[in-house]
Amino acid sequence: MYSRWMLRSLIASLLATSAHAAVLPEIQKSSAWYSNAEQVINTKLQQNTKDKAKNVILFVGDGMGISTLTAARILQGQMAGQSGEEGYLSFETFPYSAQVKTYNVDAQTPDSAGTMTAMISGVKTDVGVIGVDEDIERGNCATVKGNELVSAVELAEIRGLSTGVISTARITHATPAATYAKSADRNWEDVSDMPEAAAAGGCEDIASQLVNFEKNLEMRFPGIDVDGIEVAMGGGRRHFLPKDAAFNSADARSEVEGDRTDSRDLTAEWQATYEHGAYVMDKAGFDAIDPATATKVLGLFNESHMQYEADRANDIAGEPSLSEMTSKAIDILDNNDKGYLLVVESGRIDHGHHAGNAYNALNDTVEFAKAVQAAADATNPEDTLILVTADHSHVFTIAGYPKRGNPILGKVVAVGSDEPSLASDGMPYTTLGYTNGRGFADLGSETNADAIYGIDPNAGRKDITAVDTTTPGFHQETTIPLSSETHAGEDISLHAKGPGAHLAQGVVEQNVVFHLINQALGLLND
Amino acid sequence: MNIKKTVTLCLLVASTQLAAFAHQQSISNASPKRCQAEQLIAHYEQTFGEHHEHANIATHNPNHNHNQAQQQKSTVQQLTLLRKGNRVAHYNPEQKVANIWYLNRHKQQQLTRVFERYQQGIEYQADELKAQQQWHYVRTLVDHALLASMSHQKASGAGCQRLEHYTLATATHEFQLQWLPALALPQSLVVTDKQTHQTSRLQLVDIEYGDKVVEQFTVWDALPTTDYADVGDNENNPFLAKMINQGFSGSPNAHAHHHH
Ligand SMILES: [Zn+2]
Repeated sequence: MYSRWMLRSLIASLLATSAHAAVLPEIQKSSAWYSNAEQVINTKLQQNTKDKAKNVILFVGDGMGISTLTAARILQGQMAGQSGEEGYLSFETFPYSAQVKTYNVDAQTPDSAGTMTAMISGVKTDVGVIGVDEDIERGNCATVKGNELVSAVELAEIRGLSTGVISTARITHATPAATYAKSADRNWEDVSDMPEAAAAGGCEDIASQLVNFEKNLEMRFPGIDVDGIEVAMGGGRRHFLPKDAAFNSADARSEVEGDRTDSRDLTAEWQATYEHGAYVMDKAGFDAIDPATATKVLGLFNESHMQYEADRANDIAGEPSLSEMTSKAIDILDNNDKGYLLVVESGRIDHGHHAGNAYNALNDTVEFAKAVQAAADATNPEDTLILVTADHSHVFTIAGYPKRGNPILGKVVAVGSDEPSLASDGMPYTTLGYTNGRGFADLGSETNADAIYGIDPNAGRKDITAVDTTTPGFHQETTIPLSSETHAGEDISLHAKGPGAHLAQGVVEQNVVFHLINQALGLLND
Repeated sequence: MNIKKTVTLCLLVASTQLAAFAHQQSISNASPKRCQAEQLIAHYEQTFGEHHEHANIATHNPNHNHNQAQQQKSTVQQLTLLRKGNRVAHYNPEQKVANIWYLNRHKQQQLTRVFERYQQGIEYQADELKAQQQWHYVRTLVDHALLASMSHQKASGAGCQRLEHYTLATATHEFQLQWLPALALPQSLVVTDKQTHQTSRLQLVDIEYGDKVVEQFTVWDALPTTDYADVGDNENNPFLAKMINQGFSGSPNAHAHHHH
């Protein structure tokens, strides 16, 4: 079927070429635009993608909507001295893509908890809940039982594949948590975040579920024997340590780093369970891991979220980048001949946007694209399916009529002009903006987007004539004042390459992502 | 260069004559046997927009509408400073909001803002860039650059009671500081705008020492906190939703911010 269709297309294109080629003027035929685009179709005609993969890597850019991709792609090109518009982020060159509907069962505009649960378990659910279906009542521990979903990571473990979960957010944050935990509330990251009734009712906090993953899975499915998540790396040390300064690590920035009120040191528990495992908390520890021999890694590189990529050098003890974590994880996971499932989240694109700071959102997106490239470089396209998607969008826009090559973080300068265009209020305006949020701030060289939270919201038009809007510390203007910029409800994209990638097509519900993984790995086959 | 910034700072922290009277009693009553500068609770009154008596000399200024200016009501606010080693809190008893700073061993300043009415707090990112200069203000309520630029006039008392008088006149403002060097705290700071003749005052009213400091920090430490970066993802939390919908009121460290 497939090849017959291919043949017909080929014949059709040959006919078209011979019959009508003369119609095209030379300037059209010899245009690079024309020939490059023609080449794209020719390449697609030769695609023959297999269905089954040995390995799957799912990349999730948290809050990475379409406008974020476009702007990041331009920024990436401009940082390399080009115009920017003509380039691609690494995964944008993947052969297949789909448009993804992100809403949660009870919410038009979704959050990461509901969306990641859909992607990793195949079932859409409510906003704010992790690994449970829509029959849950958010925050009510008693409603968890019987509503737990099984994630692709759990299925992969059961089939003997190696598994990994990486995030630049806290490893207990919504997106990574949905791969391994079941929780009536995304915020139950450690026991101190839970209402007393929840803890008393037998609900386990998310950090504890990560450490007890193997034990819990074996208990839920008697008779199975799994060996636990091989690689878990991210931030969020506070949820693993007791609320006691004696447990502070060298990297602590708070007086008491840990938040746990049950006196448990989960890093010690993890090390006791996996005595050959490596628990690391800084760049030096990360670098010391030998991927050829490592069997289990728990990396907790920050008390809370890891740094923005632009701010990474400022971390006290040093942190690996997302691409470094991705490469190392693949190096470890591919030691398993049965294959692996790796989930990689760039968690802070979302935070840059929430802070109304395009610089950090885009810079982290560029690093995310590097991580995808590192994965593509380190794997065999014949046996590894790479999926790249987002969980939801943000109210982030690319607007006005800037000329080609205009700095994407700059003010709008029109075609044929060298001066910023002026709005009807007589003031210049930036190409990038937010519909809502905290609004304008000029923090200059500040690389931490979250410095904005120390300053009052400042919505509305400001005179930015004398402001350099391309600095890391510039926060774009907004219309609707909110304490934090919000998610947006439009569709996001899914990019795919490798075996099974051709099934990523059309407009799909987000929970189709699970079925792409499942189809490729045959997780539920007998 | 920081002077201009400091003026705004001082306008935020200032007091009344009533308070000036009150402090004379309480300071002497509560004097510790030795200077316990590292563990104390200092109660201040701040007065903004007070019209100074000496302002009458300005009637020849044609741009200055004196009657109108006199009708302006001054506003009085309470400010409590709590200090325990490398932790300092600024507490506003009317709003029941505490800004709690911690200077860690890496010289980063971590800010937690506690909302007592909601029994919750927001944790801000440690600030590694401007910590040293900020910390002086956080710990003493007087900007380091301001103190460094003032002239020492006279001193009285000794030991913990030693009081130093400093003044500074810029093109636009006059500063009068009564400084308690042993405690590293102002007894009073008065800033007068030369044009409007309005003054802002910061006046020490009372000082307490002892376990109360520790107890207060313990109470605050027990409250649950949310990371600043997570506010945007927590629309369902009523406390955070209120902030999301209405914005934070006031800025936790605006007057401690030194950019450029
Ligand atoms: Zn978000």
